[in-house]
Amino acid sequence: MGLRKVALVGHPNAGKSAIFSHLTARYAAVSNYPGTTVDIFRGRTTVKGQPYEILDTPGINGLEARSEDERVTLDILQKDRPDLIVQVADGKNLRRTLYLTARLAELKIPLLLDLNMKDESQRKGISVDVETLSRCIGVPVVETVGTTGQGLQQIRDALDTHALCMRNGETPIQWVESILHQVGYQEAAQERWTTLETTLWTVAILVGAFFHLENYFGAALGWPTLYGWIISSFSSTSQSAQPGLLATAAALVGGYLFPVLLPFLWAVRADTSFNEKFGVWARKFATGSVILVIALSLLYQLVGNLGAQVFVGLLETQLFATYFIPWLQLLLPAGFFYDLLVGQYGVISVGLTYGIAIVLPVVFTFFIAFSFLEDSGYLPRLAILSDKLFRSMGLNGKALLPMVLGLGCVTMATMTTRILNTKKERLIATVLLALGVPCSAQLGVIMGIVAGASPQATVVVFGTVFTQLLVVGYVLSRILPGHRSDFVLEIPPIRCPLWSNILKKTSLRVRWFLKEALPLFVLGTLILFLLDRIALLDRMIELVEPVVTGILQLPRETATVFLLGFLRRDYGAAGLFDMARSGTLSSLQTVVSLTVMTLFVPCIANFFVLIKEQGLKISLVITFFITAYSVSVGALLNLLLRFLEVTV
Amino acid sequence: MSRYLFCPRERMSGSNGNGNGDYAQQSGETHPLRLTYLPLETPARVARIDAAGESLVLNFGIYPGVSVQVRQRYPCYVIKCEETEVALEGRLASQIWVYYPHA
Repeated sequence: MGLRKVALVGHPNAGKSAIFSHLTARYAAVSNYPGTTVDIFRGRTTVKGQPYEILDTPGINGLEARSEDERVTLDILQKDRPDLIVQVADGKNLRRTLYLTARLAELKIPLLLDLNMKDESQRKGISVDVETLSRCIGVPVVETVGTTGQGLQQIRDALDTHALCMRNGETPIQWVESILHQVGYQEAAQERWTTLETTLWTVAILVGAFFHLENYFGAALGWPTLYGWIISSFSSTSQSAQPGLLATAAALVGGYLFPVLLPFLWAVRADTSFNEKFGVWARKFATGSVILVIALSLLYQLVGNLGAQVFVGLLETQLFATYFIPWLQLLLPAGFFYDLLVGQYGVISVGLTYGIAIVLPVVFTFFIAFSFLEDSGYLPRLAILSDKLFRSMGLNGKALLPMVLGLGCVTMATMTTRILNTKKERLIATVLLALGVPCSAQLGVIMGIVAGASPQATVVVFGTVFTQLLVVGYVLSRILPGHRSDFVLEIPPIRCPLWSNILKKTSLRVRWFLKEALPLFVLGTLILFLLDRIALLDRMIELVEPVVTGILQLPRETATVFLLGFLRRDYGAAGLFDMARSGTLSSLQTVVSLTVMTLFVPCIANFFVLIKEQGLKISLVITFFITAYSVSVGALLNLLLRFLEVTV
Repeated sequence: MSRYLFCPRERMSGSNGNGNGDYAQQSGETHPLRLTYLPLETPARVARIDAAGESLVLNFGIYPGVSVQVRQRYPCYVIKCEETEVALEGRLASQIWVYYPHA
């Protein structure tokens, strides 16, 4: 029996990737926003001895491609022609679903209709008579819940179907309406929130708010707090000046997770109508701005404080600097290996310390927060709020998704620019990503540095970078040919993120970091070590010294850090973190060097993706422009701050 | 009168599809009006969609005969059609003509 090719096709955010993961036991990234998948994923499965190749495709709205990711899917459908199309659809929108079915029928490929999100339809009181529907359209119809895998067996059983969709003569609209009539389709009724759920939600919010406020104001006023009592009662048992592991755990639960996550999770889990209310608040200007500020401050708390302060403190200061490195230094005899492993540019004392003790805790906390954001459905609402801002840069609200993804990893985000509709938009977004969107590790390290500095430093660094993005975006939107496309974006419902999916995504991303980034950290340190050995490093530093010490007025060692920054920007940032901590950099120098590092050239990985997506010529132009631009901005900032005698 | 406070610019230009600019006159009748005129949270049936918005809007399941409502106007339009919420800019929203009140 030959391999049967099965394509999972459907509207964006219908749950194709979730179904794919269940069918093939291969994980494809699942999120709650349209445009998560921008490329074809392939996986295999066997049912009753028949092997199948399953294709997970980017979402489509019709048979006309309006963006690169839709083109990818349509190419598969029209040129490759799979043996079976499984239309994965949002069961809550039968009319829209059938309209796409009508279009897919034009391809004359066997079809299977999967009404996904059965749980949500049921909650909304929408029920579809599957058998009648199946009879009307002439192909098997199944109902599934993509998140849990319910109903997947039905898809497996029906994979060998050869049924074609019955539609002749009528226009798609006539066909859809006649079927809806035959099925007796009723639109959803409003749902209710029970008193118990309301009470539970209120109590949880109040308790969470109490803990949080009491901790903040109590600490500010010098009053004893319940939170402080929990901490002290734990650390007094461990009998040490440094808070022990137990106290850290208590701080974690009491100070971060409980007040922040619990009420939210509770409320979201309790009922969908809270989700709906939250969804409405999040997309309105006034309430949305408040929610954005809260979300950002939570992110800052989690990544900047918990990740970059608490976890880094534990790993770097306590584990690496106090025990691990001195122990290795005692163990190894002085000589080549000593220098190679634990010397000034040692693979362990620099490479691994930066990678594991500084960057990993930061990216770990960021990845958790980020997965949570992705799965909640908040990001498309943020796109609504930021639409006007992006329009001034020749983009539209849709561009928010690649930008926010860029905070995770600029390299992946550069590929996600495919969801933008015009060439001009893709180019602008790519440049902005390479220029000023810091990746998670870098962002966390920056947060860690400025959290240790002053509030002014935070404002100056982020303010400068943000202004530069606006300026460059505005100028590009004026000088590049082409036009901006209209903003249309489907807004998915707010959903309670599944912890299993968050953990899965976080662990996948951490694994990705360990596999992709850590070797580069080690490699970078090795290159530095070798350059240092053959005395080339000093020569190179001398070469860039006029720029670093002359124009930017930074210490000489910063040059090394900038060199590392090209390998990976977070590696460079970790170097700055180290320097700022040890007091090599004055606060003004910290601000200038951080700004330059943030705007600095894209890392090597991003450079390769740039070439793939935009071609070599454009990539070189972008890289050259960004290098020159970041140094100029840094120099100007330095002059300005010194001239105005601003203390940061 | 408050219902008209948020009516967008097109109302002033008087291009509402039947040649005269008077909104009040048509509100009780079945003449189509632009979606951007429609009061918030009020279901209305789509009459037609102008050429510029057609390919875009058809893909979201919005075509003549279906019921839509406007959920929000600012910072950009959010309309609801069946269980789908779609955010779109005013330029596109004004391409959709609806019958109001709900027929």
